Amino acid sequence: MPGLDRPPRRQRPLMWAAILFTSLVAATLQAGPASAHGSHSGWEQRHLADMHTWTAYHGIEDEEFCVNIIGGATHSYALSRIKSALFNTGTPSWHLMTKSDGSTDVRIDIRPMDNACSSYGERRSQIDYEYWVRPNNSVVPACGSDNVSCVTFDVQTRAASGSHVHYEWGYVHMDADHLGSDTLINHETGHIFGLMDGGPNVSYHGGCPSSLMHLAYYGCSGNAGLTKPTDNDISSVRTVAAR
Amino acid sequence: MSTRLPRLAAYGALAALLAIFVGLFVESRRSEAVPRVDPESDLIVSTRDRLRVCADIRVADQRQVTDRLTAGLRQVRRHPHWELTDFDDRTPALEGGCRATLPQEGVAKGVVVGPGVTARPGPYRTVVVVLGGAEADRLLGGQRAVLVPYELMEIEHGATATVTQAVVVRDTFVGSPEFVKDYLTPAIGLHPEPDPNHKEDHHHETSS
Repeated sequence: MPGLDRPPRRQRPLMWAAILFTSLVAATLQAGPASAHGSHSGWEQRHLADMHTWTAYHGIEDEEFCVNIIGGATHSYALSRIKSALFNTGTPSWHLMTKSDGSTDVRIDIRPMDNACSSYGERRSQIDYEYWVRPNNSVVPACGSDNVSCVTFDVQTRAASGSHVHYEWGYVHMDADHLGSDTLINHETGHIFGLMDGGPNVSYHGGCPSSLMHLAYYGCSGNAGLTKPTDNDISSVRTVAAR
Repeated sequence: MSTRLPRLAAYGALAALLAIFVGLFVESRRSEAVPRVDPESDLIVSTRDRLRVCADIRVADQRQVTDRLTAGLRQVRRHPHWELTDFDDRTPALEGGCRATLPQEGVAKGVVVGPGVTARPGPYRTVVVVLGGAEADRLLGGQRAVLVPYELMEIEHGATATVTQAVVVRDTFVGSPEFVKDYLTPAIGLHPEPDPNHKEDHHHETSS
């Protein structure tokens, strides 16, 4: 029979070609689009434009914020709680990018605007970021669900130096129930200054360094109890500001 | 000879299948490219390949407004940082076909005037909405213009960003240099007051 005369070894190139082809198809089908990634290096992070500049007096180079109440809290309560979390929790602190050793970097100089955001007219365009407070259980499309807080960046521009892009404005969408937590107020404010969520439960992992952005909620139980940024956070924000 | 022919035919068939598959794969990736926010791109969305600007003009004299907006875009094109962007050399042409959703309670900073959060943003980086007369008074109040989100995308866990920027403006303000500098320029994605000095000149750290 002709088949018996054919050496078995001679079939292998064809077999290997078939295996190679099948593997290539399988590997290609498995390949997905590039996944989202991030870092705390300061080079890929969304942040406020005014973080790079400063003035020795209260001016538009400072990080002004105002409070916009949609519901769930009074303006005076919300403003009081936010100011307390930002200014009265000691060091480290976002304000002046203060580390625990007392060193500061004045490019972040947080300035509360005492009236409701809507009262500022066209001057509102110079206010860098706003806390929008909503009742618990209200739907916040920007957050993707209710009962959470999140941030939105608006007006992406190329920096005055031309070196990179960033955002002129930011919005912190606060669930009114979160106003009682220094942790959550400071955590959301960290997003405004360029830091991402981190920890095993989020897409940007980054492990579990001592950081207010790597919350216990995201799998970093060692950070439970943090109420303000850490020196690591301040270092990261200084890197963003130095772009 | 009789045994080589089937083997050559098999190799040929495999090669042909491979070529067909690669072709189909490349085409499918092109058509199914997933838009994502590019953190370093002036076009913001990864699937955009050029700057496109849409105009939603709601006044009778559309020609005059279009001419003024086009002149404004030419002015923005002369921005010193244009060459640093992902935009091409051309001044973008105003396109039609977009329609903002303007809330009855008025338009103010932060109010979304388009589809809002989406996974499939449109091709326009910028949408210009021109209002006149009583409609402008009712929706803009005392404002001459305002920058607002049109489309947003999730950029990471817990954060979204505007990927299509709208600017809503009174028709009487469209031709002013102030509109071009303070509203149209940032709506396109450029700084109103570009710094001629390099950024490394600025570093202000103190110790206490």
